[in-house]
Formats: sequence, C-alpha cells, structure tokens
Amino acid sequence: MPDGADDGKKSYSMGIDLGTTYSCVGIFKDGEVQIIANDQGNRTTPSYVAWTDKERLLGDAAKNQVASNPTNTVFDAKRLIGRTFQDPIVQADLKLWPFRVVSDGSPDDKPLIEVMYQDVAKKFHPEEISSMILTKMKLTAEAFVGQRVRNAVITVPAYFNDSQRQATKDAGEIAGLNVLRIVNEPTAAAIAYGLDTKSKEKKTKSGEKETNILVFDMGGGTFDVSILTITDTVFEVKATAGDPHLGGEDFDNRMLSYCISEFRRKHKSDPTRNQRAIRRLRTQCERAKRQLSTQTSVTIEVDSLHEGQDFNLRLSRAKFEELCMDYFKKAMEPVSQCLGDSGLPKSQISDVVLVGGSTRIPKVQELISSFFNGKQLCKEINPDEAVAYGAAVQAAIVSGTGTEEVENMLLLDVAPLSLGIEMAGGMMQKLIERNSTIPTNKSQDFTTAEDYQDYVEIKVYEGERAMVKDNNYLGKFVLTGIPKTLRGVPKIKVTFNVDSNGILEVTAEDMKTHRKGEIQITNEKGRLSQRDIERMLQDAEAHKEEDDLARGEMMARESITVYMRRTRKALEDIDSEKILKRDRERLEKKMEEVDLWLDEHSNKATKEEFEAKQRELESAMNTIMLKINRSESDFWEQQAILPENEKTIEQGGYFLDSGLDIRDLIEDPD
Amino acid sequence: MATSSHSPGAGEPARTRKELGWFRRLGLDPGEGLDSTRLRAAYRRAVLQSHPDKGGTAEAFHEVTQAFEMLSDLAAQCVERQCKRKRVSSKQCRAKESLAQLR
Repeated sequence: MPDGADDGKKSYSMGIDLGTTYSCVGIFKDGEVQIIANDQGNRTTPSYVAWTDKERLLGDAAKNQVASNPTNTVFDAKRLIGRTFQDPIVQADLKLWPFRVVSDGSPDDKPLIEVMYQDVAKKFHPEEISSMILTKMKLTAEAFVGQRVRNAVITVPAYFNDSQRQATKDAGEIAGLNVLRIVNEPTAAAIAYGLDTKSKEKKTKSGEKETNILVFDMGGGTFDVSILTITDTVFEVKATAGDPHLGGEDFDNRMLSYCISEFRRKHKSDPTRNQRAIRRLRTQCERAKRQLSTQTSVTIEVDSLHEGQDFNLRLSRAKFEELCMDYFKKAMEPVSQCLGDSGLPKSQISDVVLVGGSTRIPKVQELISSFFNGKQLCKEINPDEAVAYGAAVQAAIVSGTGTEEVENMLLLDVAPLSLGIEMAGGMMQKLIERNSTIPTNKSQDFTTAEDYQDYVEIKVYEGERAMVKDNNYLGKFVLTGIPKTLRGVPKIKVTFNVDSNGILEVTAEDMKTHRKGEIQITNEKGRLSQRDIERMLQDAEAHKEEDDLARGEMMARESITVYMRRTRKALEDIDSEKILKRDRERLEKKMEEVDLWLDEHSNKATKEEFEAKQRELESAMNTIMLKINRSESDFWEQQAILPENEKTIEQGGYFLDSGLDIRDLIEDPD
Repeated sequence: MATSSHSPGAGEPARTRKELGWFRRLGLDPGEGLDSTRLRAAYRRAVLQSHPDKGGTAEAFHEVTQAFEMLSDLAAQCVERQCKRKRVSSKQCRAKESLAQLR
C-alpha cells in the first residue's frame, strides 16, 4: 500500500476472538497490534447477552446482573452454534443452562434460545446471539479508532466442523460485518508467538530457519492442539486435533456438582431447581477455580444460598484435580494424535505454546510438560489475548493494512476433518483428507444407477470413521436436470472445494454438455438460508436503533442524576448568606420535585423528558448563580475538585459518572 | 548425518513427464535431486507466489501443494531405496531421517 497516497481516512480491519465465555478484539494500528479495552476498561468482554425489562445488555453489563436475571441472560452460544437441538452435547448442556433452549421444529432441528423481553417471549438463533457479541466487539473497536470498522477476521476453534464455521460466518454477517476470513484459534495464537519470538531474536538471523511448535489452546469451552512449522514469513499448520467441547466451563460444572452434593449432604435440601442459587454458586466455583491456580486451597462461601442456609466449603487443589482429572487426561489424546498426524517426533517440537485461560491450571501444565518428557513450556504470550492478536495480524495481512513485515507473512492452514460421501453399503469415501492444506479441491465423477434417472443424490459427511453412520452428516446435495438416458451414460463431475475458511462448497458439471448451469445443486447443509440471514440482519439493525435510544435515555438519566448530586453538594457548600432564602427554597423545592419524578419515571421517561427536567433544574440553579455574581463556569470548576471519596474513576477514585461506587459492583451484584 | 539427497544416474529411474512438471511447479531443477530442506524452501517460495492471499489463485495454489506432496513422497521413496542399498532396515532409516521432514 503506498504510504500517504490516500489522504482520506485509513480503513481498519479488526481481529475478533469470539470465545465461549470471553471475547477479545484487536486492531492493527500504527505498525502494531492494539488489544482494545471495552467501555468498562476490560481487555476481554464476557460473551453474554441479557434482556431486562427495559433494555438489552451486552458483555460486562449482562454478566454483572446474571444472578438477578438468570433466565434471560444468555451465554455459551458457541456451544450451540452449528449444532442441532437433538445433538447429545446440546441435550447434556441444556440441563446446566438457566435459559431456555427449544427446537425450531423444522426438519433441520435448529436450536433456539428463548428469553422474555418486555413480557413477550422472543426466540433467537445461536447465530443471532453471537452476532450481538460481535456487535459489542465492533463497537469497542470503533470507539478506539474513532471511525466505522466493518472488516473483520473472526476466529473459531481449529476443530470446529463445517456447520460451526459456516454458522460463525453467518453470525458475522448478521452483525453487519464483512467477514474477511475465519481463522483457527491456535493458528492465530501461533502468529502472536511467531512475532513475539522474532522481535526478541536478532534480525540478522533471518532466512529459512524452520521451527516446529505445538500450540495447546484450552479456553472456556473448546480445546485445540495444532502443530505448525514456522519460518520468518510462512506459518504452516502441519496437523490439528482437538475437542470442540472441553474447557474451563466443564471444570466449573464439575465443581458445581460437587458443591451441590455437599450442600445436599449437609442440609438435606436440594438447590438444583433454584436458578439464582445455582448461578451464585457457579460464580463462586469459577472464582475458586481461578484461585486454585495460584493457591493450594480455597474456601467457597455463599451466604443464604438456598432456603436460608449458607454454603461454606474448603476445597483443596488436589480435590479440584481429582474432580477434573478425566478431563485433563482426555486432553492429552489430541496431543498425541496431532503429533502422530504431523509425523514429527516429540524431540522435533522446539516450543510448546500455551493459550487460553485453562492452561493456567498447574495440573494441565504438568501433564503436557511430562508428555514432552519434562519440557519447559512457553508461557511468554498472553493466554487471553494471543488469539485476538493473531487475528488482528491476519486481518492486516488479508486486507493489506499492515506494515511490510506483516504483509509479507502467509498463513497456511488445514482442514481439521476428512470430508467424504456415502458410497454403496454405507461406506465413507473420503474426498478430502483431514489435515489437507487449504484452500483445496477434489473432483469425482458420478453417473446414474438406473435407466432414465434424471437426478443423483449425494450425501456428504465429515469424520474419520469407515462407515458414514459413525461420522457427522453435513447434508445432501441433489443434482437434478441430468439428461435422461441409459444408466451409466451421464458423467457428472462433482467438485468439493474447501476454501480458506475451511468451509466446504460443492459444484457440479455435466461432462457431456460442459454446461455447469444444467445441473442444479440443492444445498441442504442445515445452515441458515440467505433469507434468514437478511431478516436477522434487519432485526439486528432494528435492535440497534432500540439500543441507541436506550443508550440515549441512559445517558440523559445519568446526566440529570449527576446534576442533582452536584447541585445538592453546591447548596451545602455555598455560603448561605450569599443566597436569598427564597431562591434556595425554590431550588430545593424543584429538586424535591425532580427526585419524586425520577422515582416514578426514571424507567420509562424518554431522553427528551430527562433533558427537559434537567433544564428546569438548571434555570433554578442559574438564578442563584447570577445572584452570587460569579460566572457559572468558575463555579463548576470549583465544584469539579471533588473530595477524595467522590473522585471518579478517571480521577483515580471509585465513582462512575452516575455516582455509582464501583466497589459496590465488584462483589456479587445482588 | 544421513543424506537424503539423490542424484540421477545413481541407478534411479529417469524422471517421468509428470514428475518433471512437479519440479517445474516448485521452480526446482530436476537434475539436482531431492533434498528435503531444498524441497521445503522451494515450496515456501512457490506458495508465497501462488496463494490467493498473495495474489495467486486457488487452482495455482492447489497445483503447488500437489506438486509438493508428490515430490515429498518421491523423496521418501528415494530415502527408502538408499537405505535398502545400505542394508539398513527402513524402520531405522525412518528414525534417522525423521521422515517427518519429508512428510
């Protein structure tokens, strides 16, 4: 890109790590990646969406109120996306979620999340929930660069299948994003590692030095292992393996079940049906799990958990490890599979890179290290941010918005699962082998089995087993419009294309006529139709307006609350001799009136009404101001010097602009 | 250090037209034999040209990956043949050579 060639605004492309429990966004700006903090100052944002009586909440705001609103607070969309309702994994997760999930009733059997919003039950596809989180990340990026950002690279677990990738891409579209690429999380993390290592090494050591690394990525909900060969410019994935349903939340669930059974044993009562109790307990379990990475024992305490009974339990790290040991051991299987697939001996792996919050668990580290015969593990890169970092770099590479160094880089990824079709006898014929470098393609000729047959049905599966019934059914492609003739005569070439996103596309061509248009492919991959996506996009736009309105009201409400607080303070501080009694009474009366009005209306007033009330207050105040013969600005400047206990966060204190003490928010919001 | 290079005329079959095509695709000289390090370096150079992200096309990139896979297999076969000549078991041979590098 020519420097300074365009004097218009440079457009940015962001990298979004869309996580099961937390998401993170990064952007390549001024020659480096910036991980962007959200409006709460956090560099990762909870992947939570909630509906209250009045508004939709995203991220921290949604997670903070989860205990008081469990059934309308949605999370874990990543564990639903691209799956069917009857999927055994979905059925198992259902029992643990406080929100309702139902089937859409169609033959596709898509899951829908049901929440109550303004007394109406609303249903959302997991793609829509994910799109809301993506929107939140987009807003965070936009606030940082001060302009619109549409282009995005979104990451998915390397072991995500075709449907899950496609659904994630759809979520991006619903959020109004231009999805440049779907990138595998461990691959993105490898970029972060590669750039980090490169910056530390002397630049003189350039050239063709090959390094093999293994990325062990265990996050909140998914687990991946990838082996890459990296040089200065090319990052080549050799093999990948994983479990799309293994992560920190599973450990939380184990602890939760244990705590519930302990509670039952002690108090002879069962809190399982008490959603609020379960949520509060889960929050404490998650916290305890984190603490157990640095401490050898913790106490889990919840006051008045259920039927007035407190919960109190001392948990040792050893006990935690015992509870989760089967999960930890299960995580070693993909490691050895990946190593086998890569063809590399253990000794050829120079670095084992840890990514994802769950790799902080000492037992997990111990198991990997001993798998590699006591190898020192690489903990150099930030496990929570590495994926977004790499995604931001890939966004810069693909969109050509990076530095020369970055733009010279190339990522070569692989398809995680074999793709094939059903042959006679229910056998799986693989067309594309797992760990094939993508983009890739493979063609196969088909013909008819009966005379005058004018269509062929092709069922597509993914997986490694010999029989299709043991693999994952992706959908079927029906070729119609085949010229009617004797069996075996037509020759139809079907081509499987796996694009750079790891998503399968199928095309067909009649080899007799060479006309591609002749053959129609009916795509039944169980994904959202383009019409669905467009409708959801419109819904999301409508929601955005609603959100903007809500945001406007919220700000107006905050503004008037702050004004009230300051005025009250001012009245105390002003030398009473300088104010006429009449003026003071007038102002006090006005304030009282506004107070009452706020009590009654603060949940339903519009932005304009808030502003009108504030103007009334201001005029009463200004009368006094004029009389004490000081310019208003001077006065407010003086007021701005607040005592220590009233300093806002920006001033190093504890108060939000609304006057809320953040110390009140840190503990359980209830 | 075991050598994986191989030069023609050392009793190896002559290159077929197909094989020559693979060499050409990776910008390698068929006369220079197959060395895994050289092969990989050539592959990297070729993908940086042919990958869709670098202005190439999916087809061009696919041809390069195909050529690389084929030549890697060929290189592996060469190693096995050499091992046989040296009367080393192919298992030992693989261990020594770390076939991994050859894929």
